[in-house]
Amino acid sequence: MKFLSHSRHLVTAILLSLGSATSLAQQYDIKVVANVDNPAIKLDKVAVRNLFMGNASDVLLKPVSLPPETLTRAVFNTKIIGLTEARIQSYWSQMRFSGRSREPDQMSTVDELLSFVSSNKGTVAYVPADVEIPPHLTVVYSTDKL
Amino acid sequence: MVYTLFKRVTGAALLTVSLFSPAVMASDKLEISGFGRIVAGYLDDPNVEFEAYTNQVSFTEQSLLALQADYHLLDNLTVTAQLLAHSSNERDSGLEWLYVSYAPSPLWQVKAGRMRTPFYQYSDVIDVGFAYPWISPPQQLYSAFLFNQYDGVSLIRRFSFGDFSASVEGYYGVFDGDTTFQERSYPTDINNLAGIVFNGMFNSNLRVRASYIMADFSLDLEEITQFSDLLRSFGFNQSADSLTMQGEFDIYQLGVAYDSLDYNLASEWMEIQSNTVLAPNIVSYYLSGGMVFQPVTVSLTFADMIVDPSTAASDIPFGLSPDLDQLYYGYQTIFAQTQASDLQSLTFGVRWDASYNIAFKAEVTHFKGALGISTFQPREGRGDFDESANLYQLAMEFVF
Repeated sequence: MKFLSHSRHLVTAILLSLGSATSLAQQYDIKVVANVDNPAIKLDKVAVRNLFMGNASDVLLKPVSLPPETLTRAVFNTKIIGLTEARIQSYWSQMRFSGRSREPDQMSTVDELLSFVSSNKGTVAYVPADVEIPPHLTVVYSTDKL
Repeated sequence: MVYTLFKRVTGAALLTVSLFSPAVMASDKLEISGFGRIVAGYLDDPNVEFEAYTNQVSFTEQSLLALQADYHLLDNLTVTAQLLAHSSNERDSGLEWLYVSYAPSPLWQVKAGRMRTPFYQYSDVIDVGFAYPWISPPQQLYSAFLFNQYDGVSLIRRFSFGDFSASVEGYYGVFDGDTTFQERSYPTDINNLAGIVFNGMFNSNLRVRASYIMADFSLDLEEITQFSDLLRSFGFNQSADSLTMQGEFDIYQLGVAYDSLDYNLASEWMEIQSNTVLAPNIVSYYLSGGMVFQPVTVSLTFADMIVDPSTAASDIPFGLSPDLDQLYYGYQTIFAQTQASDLQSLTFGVRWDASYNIAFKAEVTHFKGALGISTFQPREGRGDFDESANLYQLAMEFVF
């Protein structure tokens, strides 16, 4: 089982590095979850994008991200940001080394990400659509139209 | 020999990248990150040099390594220092940035200290090759200024309305140091440097940038200043004034860029206006387009610089005496040497993002333009220049 899960990650990593991230990412969905007091809060795609690109936004939430080599991040890049990972990395190098803004903190796994958001009010993160969400977190956006 | 050097430097760089990637978290309060580039270049014309490139392969003109330390004094108060080691003779190594940044809210940011001047889209990250598609950003814009740092303050206000988010930055400062061109340093004073930059983003794909900068400047060109003083002592004030690098300049800039998963388009335009004969009025622009075949991007860029020629002074009489004629020729020669000339270029480039923090680039640029102060320099003892040359470059860019 462990071997299987490893090899699945390996395949994903190879596919990502071969650059087929975009087409692969199209087949998956993600949802954006936040730790907020008001469970009625919904964000549109632009608001999510602004939060994760360090732009001004009407909602004051702290974004937390996954590492570049993960499939979930590739899905987020493709479906929400609309830029390739390489372009996003260039963007952040420009922002960081010109002292304007810095990229969101990263957690290495979805589990760590969820437990971080669970215990920190005012944080927001994206996770695979099929992940179970703790009841006190709010799904503020989903790429799955159903 | 060159190959061994390349192997050694590349090896060191790869080691650095693998040791440090991603950004090292030394502690919660201190973050260390950095960037570097190894650039090789070759100009195919034996008669001239361009940005210090000649018909001998060189690795030293643009290669560099930089470290940035961000120390968080408080959640919203950070001290940042950027140290840069440069291999070129034209660039000093040392402290590039040193500033305190205070962000009372995500919408406001104040910075004070030594910073890079944000003339154009990539001016303040000109050493971070990883941040832009080219190896050498269009020289028509990016080498047409004399200084790249200032000491002062900067205020950024961010805002959003609907699908549009934007920021406005205002800055004010001075620069007192040396500027280097054509392998010589000249004492430079920039005062009352004031600028405003508007950055807008529609969705995250369409970006616009507009900026305005003004400043008072004074550059001591040594032997030219001496000659100018000589002319003044003979009463030829018009000629003397025309060889003075002192006055005011204004720079206007507009830029637009569109990025998608499959392609990108970008254009920038700038105009420099100055009241000094030696610093001519210039209009430059580029148009660039790229196709993305992940992880490779192929791009084509056309760039143009149009110089409004300055007129030489005419108060030195010619044909009256051999001494005056000598002065006349001396003036004409020096005046001609300080002129800029038009420059056109077409660049074909390939960028391969080998991993999320390492990119390899290859680029060939065809230039058309005459000899001039920020373009082609004649090489001693060589033949005539046919006003066209190709620059070939290879680069490895990394961030950590």
